[in-house]
Amino acid sequence: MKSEIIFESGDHKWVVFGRDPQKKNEVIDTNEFVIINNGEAMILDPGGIEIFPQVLSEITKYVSLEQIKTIFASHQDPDIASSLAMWLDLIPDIKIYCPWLWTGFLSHFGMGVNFTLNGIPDEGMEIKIGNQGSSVFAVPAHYCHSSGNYSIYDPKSRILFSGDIGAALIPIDYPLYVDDFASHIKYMEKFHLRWMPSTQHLRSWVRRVRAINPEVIAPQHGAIFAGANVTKFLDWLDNLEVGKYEMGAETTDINKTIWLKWKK
Amino acid sequence: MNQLNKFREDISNVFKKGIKILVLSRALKSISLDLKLLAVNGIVQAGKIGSAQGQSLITLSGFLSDLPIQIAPELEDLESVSSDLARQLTVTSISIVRFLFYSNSLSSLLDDILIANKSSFRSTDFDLLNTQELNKLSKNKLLERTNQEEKKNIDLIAKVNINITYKSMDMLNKSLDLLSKAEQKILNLKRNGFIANYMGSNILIESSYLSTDQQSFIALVTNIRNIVDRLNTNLDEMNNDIKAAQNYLKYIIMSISN
Ligand SMILES: [Fe+2]
Ligand SMILES: [Fe+2]
Repeated sequence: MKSEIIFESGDHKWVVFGRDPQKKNEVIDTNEFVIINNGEAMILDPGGIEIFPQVLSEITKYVSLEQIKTIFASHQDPDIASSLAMWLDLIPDIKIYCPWLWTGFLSHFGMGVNFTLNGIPDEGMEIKIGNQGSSVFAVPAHYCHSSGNYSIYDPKSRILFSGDIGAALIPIDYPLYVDDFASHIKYMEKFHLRWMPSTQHLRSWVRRVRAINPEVIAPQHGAIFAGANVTKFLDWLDNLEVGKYEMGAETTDINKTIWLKWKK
Repeated sequence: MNQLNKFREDISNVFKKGIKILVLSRALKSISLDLKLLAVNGIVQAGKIGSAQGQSLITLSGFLSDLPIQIAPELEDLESVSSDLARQLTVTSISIVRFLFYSNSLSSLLDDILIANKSSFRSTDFDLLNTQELNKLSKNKLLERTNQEEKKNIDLIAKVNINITYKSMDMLNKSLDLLSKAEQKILNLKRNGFIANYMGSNILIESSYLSTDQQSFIALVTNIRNIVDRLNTNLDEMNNDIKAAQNYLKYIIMSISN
């Protein structure tokens, strides 16, 4: 698994983990982000259980495990949350924050471990990175794509972690940052059309993010948007009609062959 | 195949055996019901004869019809032991899976450190299943040049695995106990099967003096023998699975108890 520092100023640091060459082919590639403030760390979307060993050993290059104080899970998907019990068993006083909507569901990933989750209310909240020091903000991103979903904004680095918004299915050797936005669209478009269910909620997320005005938008899959690409990305989203993915009349209906078999 | 993979395979095998034992114990119920139906049929046949010989056949068939009632609690017990076992093995294998994920983390952490230190050793040179080795892992000579921070991380992961090992050991031993219980129940059931066959032979002897109706008693006894055969086949299969599960468990316990 590769890792890289994407922001560093004084005692405040962001590290990205991903592009894992050891990962099995059928496992979707994910970016895990770690914010280190004052020696204490917070993991954003820690990833699935399949990549837990790689993430764990790579993180130790930056921070002592006992200094991981917080985990944020943007939503309930397995590529984000299936490793939660492993983290909790290893570091029992870690605080896990996730959408309140999903706490009961995520507890199914408990694996027999003492599993306490802190639910984030619908309107979002301030979350402390460690026991002392700075905080980040959970920004509502409901229905983008999950019905209970948040982004994380860090005012110190002005990075917004956007979860699945801005996700791109890219080749494993793709650069960490989006270079030419226009040619990056092809890696994002299908993902957004199919996984994002609501144009209305997507528009409202873009409005919130424009108000926050981040310098960098970092998604959980794909490449990071920085500089002028942030505005280009938000403009692109504003013109996207999602939740309308059509598979063609033939197939959106029940498959005819199957239907006829049932009817027998 | 490396040691961890072999370990994972053993766990998955013992888990499958547990489920198979449960399925077999459920199948025994229908056998018991068939036996009961046959015995009732025997009483009805004997009742039709109405002589002194008929009376002894009624008594024998009566004994036979009591058998399923007697073995019913044994069957219930066996089923409940089997379902406890399947549950226990499921919980155990989940905890072992966690153990394996931590072991993989430890391997990859050790490899990173050893490579950075230009060591010719690799994580495979450590016995990461062994609690004693885990206990003093960060003090291992091969990790002499590792810094304090890294040693702390190694200790933390090793500690979780030591804890999981102790808990798993407990659970594995409980599974072994349940397997012996199931073995005992199977033994009792086999004895009852033997008795059913014995009753069948007596019915056959008694009915041989009959001038009529002999044929239906021969059919009855043939059916009893078929059912007891089915019972025995099922119980033998369970016994084999129990033996296999015991071997896997003992091997697993051996590889983590040092
Ligand atoms: Fe997702
Ligand atoms: Fe995702």
